Amino acid sequence: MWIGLVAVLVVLVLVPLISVQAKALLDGGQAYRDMLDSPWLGATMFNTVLLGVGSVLVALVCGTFLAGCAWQLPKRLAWLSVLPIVPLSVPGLALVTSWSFLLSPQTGYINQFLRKAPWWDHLASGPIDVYSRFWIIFITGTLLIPFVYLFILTALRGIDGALIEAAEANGARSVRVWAKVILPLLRPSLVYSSSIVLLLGLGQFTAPLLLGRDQNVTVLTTEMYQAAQSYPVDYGLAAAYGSPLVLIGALLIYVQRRALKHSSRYETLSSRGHRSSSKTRSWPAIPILVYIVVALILPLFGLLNVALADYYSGAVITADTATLANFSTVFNDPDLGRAVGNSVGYSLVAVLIVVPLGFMIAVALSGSSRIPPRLRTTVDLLTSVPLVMPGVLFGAGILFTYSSGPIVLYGTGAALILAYITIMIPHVAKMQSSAMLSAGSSLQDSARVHGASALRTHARITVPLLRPAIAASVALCLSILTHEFGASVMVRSTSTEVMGTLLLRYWSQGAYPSVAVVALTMCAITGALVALSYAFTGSRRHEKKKPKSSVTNAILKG
Amino acid sequence: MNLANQEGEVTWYTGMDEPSMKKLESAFEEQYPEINATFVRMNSSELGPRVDTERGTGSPGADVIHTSTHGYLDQVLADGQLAEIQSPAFEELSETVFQDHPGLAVDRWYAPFSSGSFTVVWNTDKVSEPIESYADLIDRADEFRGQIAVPDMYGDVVAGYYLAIQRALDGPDSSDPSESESLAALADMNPRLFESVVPLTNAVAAGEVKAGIYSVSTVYEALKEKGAPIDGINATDLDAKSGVNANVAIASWATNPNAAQVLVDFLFSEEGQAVTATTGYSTVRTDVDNPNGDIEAMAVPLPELDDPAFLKDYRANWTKLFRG
Repeated sequence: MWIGLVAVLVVLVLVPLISVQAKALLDGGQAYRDMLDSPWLGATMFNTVLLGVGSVLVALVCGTFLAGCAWQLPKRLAWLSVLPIVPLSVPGLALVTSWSFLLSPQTGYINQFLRKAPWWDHLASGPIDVYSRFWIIFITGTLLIPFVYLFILTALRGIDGALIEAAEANGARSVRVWAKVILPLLRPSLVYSSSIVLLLGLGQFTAPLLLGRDQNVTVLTTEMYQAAQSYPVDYGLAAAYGSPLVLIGALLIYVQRRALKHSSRYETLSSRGHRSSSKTRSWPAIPILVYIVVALILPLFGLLNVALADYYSGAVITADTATLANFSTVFNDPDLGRAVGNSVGYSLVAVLIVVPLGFMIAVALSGSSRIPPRLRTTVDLLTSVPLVMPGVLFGAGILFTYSSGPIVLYGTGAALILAYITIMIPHVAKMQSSAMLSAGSSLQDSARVHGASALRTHARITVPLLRPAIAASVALCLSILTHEFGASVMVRSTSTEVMGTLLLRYWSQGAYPSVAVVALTMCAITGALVALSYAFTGSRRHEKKKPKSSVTNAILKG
Repeated sequence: MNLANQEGEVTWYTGMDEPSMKKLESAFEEQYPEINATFVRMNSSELGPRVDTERGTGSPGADVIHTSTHGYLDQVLADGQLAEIQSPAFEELSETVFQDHPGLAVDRWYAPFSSGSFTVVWNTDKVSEPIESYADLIDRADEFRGQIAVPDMYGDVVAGYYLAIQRALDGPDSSDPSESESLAALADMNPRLFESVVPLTNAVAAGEVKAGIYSVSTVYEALKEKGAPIDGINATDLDAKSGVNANVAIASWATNPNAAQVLVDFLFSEEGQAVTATTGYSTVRTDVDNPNGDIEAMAVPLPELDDPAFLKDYRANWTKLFRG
């Protein structure tokens, strides 16, 4: 059975990546030569690295600061600590779109507001240029803040308050406590989260694609997209541009595994020994609220404003000028219905497959399984790979693998479902694996001692115990997949258009009010699906049987 | 016709703007209620890769293709993957107007049924004096520096557009962007690059830039009707005339080959041409009343652009000039 699991993971994870390499190496590596001959390669590599490093810095500084704020909140304000992860439920595509409405140099709402300041009132445009490299990096960084926040907040909650109390008792002030005690304790989490976020930053696609054209800010992923989606098509070149990302991803897995071998990672991330900050304060609520205004409220305002406008002009909509015509146009477009149906349908099918698959992986990785150690390591490695490879790369791999040969999936929903399953494997598996570790194996051991088969033990004990984690993984899958874009854009066809790719189509047609309507629709559908998934799979009745679990906790434990 | 009705559907990939495409879609469905038409708007740069993947995988998609990228259709034709057009309306035109305009129709494989002319647009809130010509725009470089939208270099249509400008302004022998004074002047204005006509025109209407080249009347007029502060010059009054003849062809792997023939027949028929005439495009038929002109007003093909080597060099030199 375990060999079968490894085989499935190889097909899902390795085959697409091998296809990418095979494509790049065709004709004696001509694609690599073409890539190396490109006069823009240096700039593209530079932009990619800058985007990765820059966005990590933004995310790390802001995410850590926000986590520190949330950690110090008093009990009555503790609910605010959930807010910084809410932007994760808004499609990145919608957020980037909205930032372009808010910050475009001439007509961006924020720019118009800033130009009212006496020191900027002489400017005809700006002061912010959303199409510049700096702002593309900054916006990418803001998209990644919730990830760092999740990692750091959990690590903070794992810190023993006694250490901080001891430092304070010895006269250390807050800043010194942070510098000398808290940050050193956070080092493993900071390193781990920044390496993950660096990979996410290097593989970022949406912001450079939508905002980078104006000033030629190309990165590896946009070059891949252009090579595969522009006439004349050059799949080999697309594959070659993906290779540096494969290399960096593989390197990161290696470094992580070596680092984790000697670290006490689970002590830091465990929910056991949870303690609050020794002193609680109310002021940290302010930065959290400011962040939510900037990262969520303003973008939603931008989208709503454009959605209600006759045409995009930068004018703030009033009751007199608002129109629902764009909603009517988009909702009457049969393409939207098809895209919504496809997004929801493919996501649900992917969830139905990836959740049991994740469960099997979690069982394989748990100490209680009888999987040979080498196979366990292989499963662990293969499960980690999609986490460190951009979705667009898997999309390209699936396109190359299943566009010809014995199995042709292009043009069918199966290609997208396959991509979605692959992307979600690490998230779902790690969530369930962590929950399994927390639950321990005593109940399962007891069942086996009493003669229950492995299947019966899992069905009657493990699965019910993991129900909150399963609910969380379903919710996470739906929230990510219903607005998935990077992989979808590579493998979609006319009949398999999903919401993210439809939004891109409206964007490239310049139909900005329609773009805003689709983006808002995506937010609504994602929110509704996540809520429904909790309603169906994560009811309170079951939560009482286990310590609280949520998307947040599950991700953090992973 | 019976076979087409039995198929019951047809899919058309077209680069036409959305409102014009919708008009044609409604008219076709009204005339052929048994055939469910799916018209999909797609930029020419996007259409080729999509269709290529479909024909490579044999997956269902386009029955009829409408693209301004001639080179792409030539390539598909060379691969023997275009179906012959067997339409009475096309037959009639082949014996009349296409005979007088060699180069427009390529036998029975593909031909344009309409043509759009590119023009210059400006934001009326930001530009006090209308722009009269490309030369006028370049003369007013200081007014438009950093505030002008131009098309990015995608495919042979944009190359043809820039080539038409440089030949009109620098002389009929001008072929190299790196030696063109007019293009150098444009590039020196630090223009913003856009992927296609609609986003470019929207940016002008929104006031993101003061003016733009490479717009078409259908798009800016639609924005004007909504109250957007945008205006443009009649393309025929410009000093450089350039347009796009998007060709229509039938895929040999079409899932609905008969319905595809019916759609193509409709596009070349009097009825289809009459609808096209209301969209701001020139039409091939001379027996349809069209304020935008008939086949005589259509863009003259530039044979150089069929040469891949010329196109490659042109694109590379343009890119150096505009992207530095």
